[in-house]
Amino acid sequence: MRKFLVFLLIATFASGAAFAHGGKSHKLLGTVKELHGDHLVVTSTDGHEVTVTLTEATQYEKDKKAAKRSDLAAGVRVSIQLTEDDKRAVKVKIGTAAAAE
Amino acid sequence: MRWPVKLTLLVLVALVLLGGALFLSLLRRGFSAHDEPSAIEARIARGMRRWSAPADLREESNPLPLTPQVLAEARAHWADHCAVCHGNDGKGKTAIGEHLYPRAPDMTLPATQSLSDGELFAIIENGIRLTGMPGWGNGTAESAYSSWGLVHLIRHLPELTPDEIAEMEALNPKTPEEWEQMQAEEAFLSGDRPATSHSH
Repeated sequence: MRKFLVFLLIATFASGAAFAHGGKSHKLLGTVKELHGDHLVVTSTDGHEVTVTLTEATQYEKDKKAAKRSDLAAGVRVSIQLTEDDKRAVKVKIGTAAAAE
Repeated sequence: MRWPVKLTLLVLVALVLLGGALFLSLLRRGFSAHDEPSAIEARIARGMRRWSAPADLREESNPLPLTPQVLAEARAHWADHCAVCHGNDGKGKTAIGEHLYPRAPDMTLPATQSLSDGELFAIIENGIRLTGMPGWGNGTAESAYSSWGLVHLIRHLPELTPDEIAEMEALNPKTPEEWEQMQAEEAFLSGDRPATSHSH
């Protein structure tokens, strides 16, 4: 009986640890190509152009500190945490300006 | 048999049959943590949470003086132990917190903030039965110090700044894959990696 209970306990926690069915947000690394009112166009590291919507809830970070939307500019490198549908930006980390390549 | 007695018996039989049918229907359907707890369950759970705190703790105020160091230690502790379910901001919007039954609460709201310091301490130390909240205490002075520090942090959650959240994110537990991704991201943002990896 005790073995069964231990098994049940392990199975319960193992199933919890295996929980991974939910959608997962993605990150987009790239360089800002265009900046518009409610969205920006990013050239991703694999060369694709991706349009991302900026919302009022979008957070900005630069040098590990809170930043503002006005810190974004064309040509800067960004890491964007996207919503599960890959359309809206949850958080934009702003990096250095990309060197001309 | 008089008619009021007959009517009462009839109503009782109908209620028993209805209850039985409802019970069988629930058994057939099974129980899922995806369901929202009913109002009755939520009320009972809140009551149980309140009663679960030892009586001598319920009205106790936080004996640990609030200092920047205490708050910094509590943020680090929260980021490492609590954020996986509650989120760094305490709103419970995490993959685990949103799927627990009951859900991890938004701790910035009055339902949590109206609890006394002692009740919050008791919850951290002893956990809450039949929920995902474990008891973290081990009866030592170190454990009590950490838990009272966390009580200060819970009070501070509604005013948590973006800088404090960013600091906590760096302290959240990470898998080796997440560490790799974080390092790659930092290298990219600082310009140590090419802006594009494709070749023409």
